[in-house]
This record gives sequence, C-alpha cells and structure tokens, in this order.
Amino acid sequence: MGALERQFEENLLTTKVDWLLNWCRLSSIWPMTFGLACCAIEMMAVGCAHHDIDRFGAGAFRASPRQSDLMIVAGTVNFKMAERIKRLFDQMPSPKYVIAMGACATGGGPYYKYGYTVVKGVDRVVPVDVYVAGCPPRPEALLEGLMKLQEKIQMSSVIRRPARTA
Amino acid sequence: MYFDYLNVLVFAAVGFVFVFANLILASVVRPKRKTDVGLETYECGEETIGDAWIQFDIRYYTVALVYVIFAVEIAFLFPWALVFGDATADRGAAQGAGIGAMVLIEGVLFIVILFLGLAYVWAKGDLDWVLSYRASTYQPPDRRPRVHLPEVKAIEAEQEAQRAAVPKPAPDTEEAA
Repeated sequence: MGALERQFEENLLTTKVDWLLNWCRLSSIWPMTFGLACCAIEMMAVGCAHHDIDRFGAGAFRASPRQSDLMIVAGTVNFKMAERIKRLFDQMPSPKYVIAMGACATGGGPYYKYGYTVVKGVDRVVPVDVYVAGCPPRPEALLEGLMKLQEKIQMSSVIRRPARTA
Repeated sequence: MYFDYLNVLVFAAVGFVFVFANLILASVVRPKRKTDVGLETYECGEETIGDAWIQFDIRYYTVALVYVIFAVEIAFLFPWALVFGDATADRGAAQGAGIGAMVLIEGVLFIVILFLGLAYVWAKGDLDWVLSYRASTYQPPDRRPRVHLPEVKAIEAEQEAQRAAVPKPAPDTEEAA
C-alpha cells in the first residue's frame, strides 16, 4: 500500500485529487502485447491507424507485464494458456485491469458445451473489469469496452476511503 | 560570466526535481501488492526453470570465429583474382609477369597469415566438436523457489467433473440418416 492510499475521508480536496490521479491513470492505460485467437486480429485492427486506440492513450502495447496496466484477453482461453495468463496477470504491477474480449474469453463462447480444453470464461482465472461481447467483437466494440474501463477507473478511489456499501 | 550558465542550472534543477518529485508522488499513491508469483522472473508467462546465471557452451562461438577465416579469404581472394587478372592481361610479357609474381606472393602471404590462425585453433583442439568437460564449481545463489499455480488445475478438474456428470449427447440423427 502506498502511504496515502485510501487514507482520507471524502471531501472536496480529496475528491479533486482523486479525480486528477484517476485522470492520469485512465489516460495512459498501456495494454500488454498478446493475443490468443481470432479476436487478436480485431485487437490489432484497433491498434492500427484506422481505429487508432492511441486516441485513448492506450496505444502503447508493452511487451512485458511489468510495464502494462491492461490485459486484453483477446481469444479462446484454454487450460494450458490459463495458467500463463494467471501468471502474467500476477506479474503485472497494480493498478491493473482486464478486458475479456469476445465470447470465448467471456464465457467459453462456441466451446461452452463440448470444449473440454477451454476455460469457460477467463474470469474464472483472473478478475475481469469489462466484458466485450461479440464473436469476434468489432474494433468499435473494443474501443467501447476501453471507454467503459476508463469510466470505471474515473470512479475509483485512490486516496479516499472507498465509499461503504449499505 | 558565471551567470551565462544560469539557465543551464535552472534547466538541470527543474529536470532533477521533476523526476524525483514524480517518483516520490507515485510511490505514495500507488498500490504495492507484492506476491510471490509477481516477483518471479518474467519468462513470457512460463514457469522459470533454474537460474539465468548458468555457463553456456561456447562451441558455436569458436566455430563462428573459425568461419571468419574462410569468409575473409573468400571475400578478399575473388576480387584479388579478378582485379589483378585484368590488370596483368593488357601488359607486355615482362611487366605482366613481374606484377603477377608480386601479386601471387602477396596473395600467398595473406593466406598463410590466415592459415596461421586456423593452425592455432587446430593445435589448441578447438576444432573438436566434443570438448573435454570439466565439472563447474560455480554455485548459483539461492533464488526464489518456483511458484506453481494450482488454481487453474482445480478449475480444470471441476469442469471435467461437470462434463462427466452430463450424459453423453444422443448421436446426431440427421447425420446418421
């Protein structure tokens, strides 16, 4: 834990500081470079000039989990890969986020019934922040997912204590 | 005159403060949640096997070095033969023979010098592919133990059990017909 993390009551100052810190975080979500299946092709399209994920500050695909903030699980997760995904996720520094892209990563997809090698959803292995529907999702859908993640980050509390739920 | 460099000093100070202020600010607001898996060596998601501080066999290195002898010979002797062949072609007999003899001696000298290197490697025994192996006395320092991830295996077993519980689907009648 950072020394100031979640140490303060909610007031005008801490809210503004949190807004600023969250804005910093959501403006440079660097994804990790890896794709598992056909969804990765759409992810590459998102990274290219036409759809241009760099507009959202998320265009710097890093080759190491040490530098990544976001894990886009783009494709079918089988058991062999699930172990690696879990390890890669654990090796990412906090704060870290996961987007489950496509039907396979969300819940097994077409392999739900008979796919004995497929994990029925990557959320069984790592915590998922945003699910993107589609098989594969269009690039716009992934961008929408990224924007949803940015909204989620904007709401998170950094130095405030998180709001208690009733 | 010292104030000529005042702007440099200001730039350096701002740069220094900018870097360290940001590092300090980040260190107080960022979460620090260290786990054993997270501190493992990054091997593209694979389990790390052993240590990076091991002794490599350098036999390819010596082979590559020996190859340089022949590569340099080839790279030099082709233009040598072509250029001096053309140069001696149009000359008179006496002049051409003089140039030819000198060039031949130069070429042989060049080959001999390179062959000395080859002879050295040969005499040293580095041309043998299987070298004598001395057991290393190097002991790697203690590193973090390998971390296994049983969670995924548990999920696999659970899914397998679920699958086994479901009765096998009836054969597709349309395909059978």
